[in-house]
Amino acid sequence: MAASPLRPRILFVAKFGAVLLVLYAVIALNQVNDAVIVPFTEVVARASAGLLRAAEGGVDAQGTIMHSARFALDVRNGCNGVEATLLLAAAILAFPATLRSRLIGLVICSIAIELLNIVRLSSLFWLGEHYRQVFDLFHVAVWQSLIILAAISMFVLWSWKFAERPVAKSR
Amino acid sequence: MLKDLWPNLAKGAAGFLLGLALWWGLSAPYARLLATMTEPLIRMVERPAVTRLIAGGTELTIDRDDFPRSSPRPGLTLMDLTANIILLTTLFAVNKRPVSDRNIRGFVLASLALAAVHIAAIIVNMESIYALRLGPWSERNYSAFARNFWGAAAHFYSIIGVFGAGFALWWLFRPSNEVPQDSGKSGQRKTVKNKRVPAR
Repeated sequence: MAASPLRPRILFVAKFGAVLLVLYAVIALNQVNDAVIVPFTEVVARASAGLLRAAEGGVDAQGTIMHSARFALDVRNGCNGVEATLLLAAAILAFPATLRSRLIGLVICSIAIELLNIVRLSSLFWLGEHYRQVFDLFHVAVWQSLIILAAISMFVLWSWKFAERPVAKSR
Repeated sequence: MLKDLWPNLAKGAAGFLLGLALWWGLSAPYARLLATMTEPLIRMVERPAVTRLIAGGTELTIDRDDFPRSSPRPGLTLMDLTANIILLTTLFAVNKRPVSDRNIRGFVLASLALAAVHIAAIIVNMESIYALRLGPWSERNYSAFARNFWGAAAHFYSIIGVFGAGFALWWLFRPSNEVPQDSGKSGQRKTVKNKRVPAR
């Protein structure tokens, strides 16, 4: 008889939601925001400006703001890749796996997400400079969804490749 | 898994474009639908029941019978709150048989649940506007705790909840055997060390 998949799914979603809330509560603390998130966002802004500088000159970053003579972009929470990393972390932590597997997944996937986010910010800045009329569409819908999709794809791949199955099922 | 990479990417791209078209093309009628469904819910719990939601394009204007006539009305941009339909459509499109009855039924159920999430998001954002953005009126009517709560809830949804909800609904309503099953008993079960789940 095929087992109903609903109960484990509900449990996973409940754990995922709970972990997501806890992680959000941590990054929402002013102390964490000021000591970790803002400096990290500044690094992301600098890296994105650096990537763009390799393609076209005149782009720089000051604090969390990327700027050129024609356009400026303030990288805020929601654009620094932390939200996608939290979503991924919540999914990995909610899924049954060993600590080692979780750590491997978290480290590799977080780095991949942040690298992708640097590409995202660079391309958004470039769009803002050259095609301002489509900037909002790409900012709100396209890149946001792509980053989250990348995070979910990484989670699914991780759960296939690294998560360990229960003894009863592996026999 | 890797041999399925290109077909999955193609299905994902098609689903992404479909989601984008749904989100973009239906945003105005969907805003009207959300306003019609949300306003009675708000009025059911508020005393006095004075809130009115007026859909204009993709924006909801929040009006109250007790607002001074000359004061500007706050607005809510719905496109930000509803962008998770793109994620949901893409995820269902990547499932093994995207046009099977089971997948479409799952997608419809997940979309209905997502509409409920959108209604909740509108209520939360409206409360956060009431609690934080109306100056002395906010301070008079909302305690410090309530203001923090509604502000944090709206921020949580905009930063991460919006896409977290899309992912969670896909996970709940997707057909079986699309991704590895969570036994749901990670704390109780034993695992085989160093034994990996074979790729499908």
